Amino acid sequence: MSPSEQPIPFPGVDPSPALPAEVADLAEDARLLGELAAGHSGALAELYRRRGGPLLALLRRMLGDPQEAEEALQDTFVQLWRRARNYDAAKSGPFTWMVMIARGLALDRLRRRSRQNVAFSGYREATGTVAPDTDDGFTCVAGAETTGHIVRALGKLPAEQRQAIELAFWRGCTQEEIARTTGEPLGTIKARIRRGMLALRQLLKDRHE
Amino acid sequence: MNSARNLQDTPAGEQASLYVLELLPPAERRDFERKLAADPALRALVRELQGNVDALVLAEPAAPAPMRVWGRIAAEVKASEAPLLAFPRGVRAWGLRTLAAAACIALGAFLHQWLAAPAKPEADPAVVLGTAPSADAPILFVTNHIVIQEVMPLPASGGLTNPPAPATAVAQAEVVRLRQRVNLLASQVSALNQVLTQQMVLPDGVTRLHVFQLVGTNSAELPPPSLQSLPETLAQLATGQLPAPANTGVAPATNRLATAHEPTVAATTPTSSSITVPATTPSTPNTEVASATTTPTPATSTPSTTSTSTTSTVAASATPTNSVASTASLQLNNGQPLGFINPDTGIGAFVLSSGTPIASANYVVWQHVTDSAGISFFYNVGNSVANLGTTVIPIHAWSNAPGAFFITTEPTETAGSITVPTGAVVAMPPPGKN
Repeated sequence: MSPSEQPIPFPGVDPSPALPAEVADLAEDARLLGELAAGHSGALAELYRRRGGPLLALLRRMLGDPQEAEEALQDTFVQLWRRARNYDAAKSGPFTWMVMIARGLALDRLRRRSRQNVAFSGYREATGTVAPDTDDGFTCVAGAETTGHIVRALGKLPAEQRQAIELAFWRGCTQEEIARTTGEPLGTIKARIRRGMLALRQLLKDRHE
Repeated sequence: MNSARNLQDTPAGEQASLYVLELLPPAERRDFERKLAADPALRALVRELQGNVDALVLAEPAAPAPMRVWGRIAAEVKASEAPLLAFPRGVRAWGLRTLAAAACIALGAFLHQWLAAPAKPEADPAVVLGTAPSADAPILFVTNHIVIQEVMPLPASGGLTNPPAPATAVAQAEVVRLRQRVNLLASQVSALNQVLTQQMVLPDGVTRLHVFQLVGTNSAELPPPSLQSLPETLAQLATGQLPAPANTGVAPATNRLATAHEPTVAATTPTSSSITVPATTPSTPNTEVASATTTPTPATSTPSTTSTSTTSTVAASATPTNSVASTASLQLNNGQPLGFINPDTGIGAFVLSSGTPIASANYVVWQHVTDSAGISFFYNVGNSVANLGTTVIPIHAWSNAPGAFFITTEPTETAGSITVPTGAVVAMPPPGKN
């Protein structure tokens, strides 16, 4: 093979095969956040490569506007850069922390757009297949197998539980707003969320057992 | 003691679900966080439920995060960063060499007297490299990636004695401290030597260099080891120590950085009639690899947007003085940082020059690579946007083979999938590995 035919190597993630992929991913995320806290800007790039895709998907679904989602993604990673020292591994996992930052920024934007009063019929408006970006972007960590398993787990949840969780997570609806939207008592909504979250946890755990 | 499983059907368990989804009202949230701090089982339950949050996001169909967004992130982060490597005005090469020599002597004496075991690199990334060898000497700061926090004077040579055997905790602590000192000194010497190299190859007028460090601990993330040889390569380019291209019977290598072993691969040599000069930057630059076996005729190329001819500036190895001198007349980017960064790993550098801005131009970042057979390639690893507003040039990838990075203006010449630089060399940045 001539050198001109050789692929240009691209640095990537090589998690330890001894660890489940998700565990290794989280450990790597935590390590990168530590590096970021120490001022290594390269760690931010690596986090972007690993987690930029899923976070952008989150923001796209929440905001429903690809351009605004990209703006929010930019804000998210700048916040990660500035707040990495505040990350507390005792309080949340590294990816959860990143998700919460992104989600918080998206909710701020939603509030600014006065879209908080979301009708139930519209809560899935932004869901759907994301078209491949024409930009020469970065691959993300979550593989198709992992994603497929999670989707299947979500699909096994009773519809009303999944509905309550999705309204809370994706739309940032409060308990009261979910109750109003669904026409159910507040206590019922709380119970649904609790049961749904516990069931989802169990479904995800079953994968590893 | 409660377990996470036992908690799940309790009010606290319900609160945990609501907490993870950020559904608790502020007062209730604060109350819950107090419970959380005191209850390991509750924390365990919350962590498990947070896995649901991760799963909800990961279940979404995700496209790769776009490069364009990263460019904006990098620019914003860069704008908020302190300069990482500064060249104080008035510091001249001889002064830097003196500093490096002093550091080498001091370190040598130190090592000779003391170091019995090889020093282990310190894991602390916050270790700061700096030296103030005398009160009136220019102070040179070198850091890997963070703001300087401390200046450590070099130790007086010959004043150290071997410590007692580390039989006590105190002795062990002393060993650790002294080894850290040795590591620091070694880093200082390394950094100073690197500065010397940079001083030799950077264009006149460059006053600041902003160097990112590659990070990562597993092999896939680390820079290619061969990048370590880049300072030497750059120094050779700058001082003309690289041999002129051998006569291979093909056209003179006026559009390339020549190597000691010019290949003759006539089969891949394009004809001059197939060479075109693109009006714009290639859209997929990293897929285009230029081989030194291509010999585009300089006469067919469009002149650079600068006043320097394409042939006299790119043939850096043949006329290295001209190459560096030509950059002295160029002022980059109206005094704003111009440089490159690999957004995937953080490799990159920014060059700041002062003075009259050059005309608008497209900038192209190249890596010159010579493989084991002596064949040269120009990897087009990044392109700027088309005007002086550019401050960051994303680098898409690089070769594992040894090779120097440099920046030219457009135009480039292409023949099929092969692209070679023909624009003026405007910067020869330091190696990506700091």
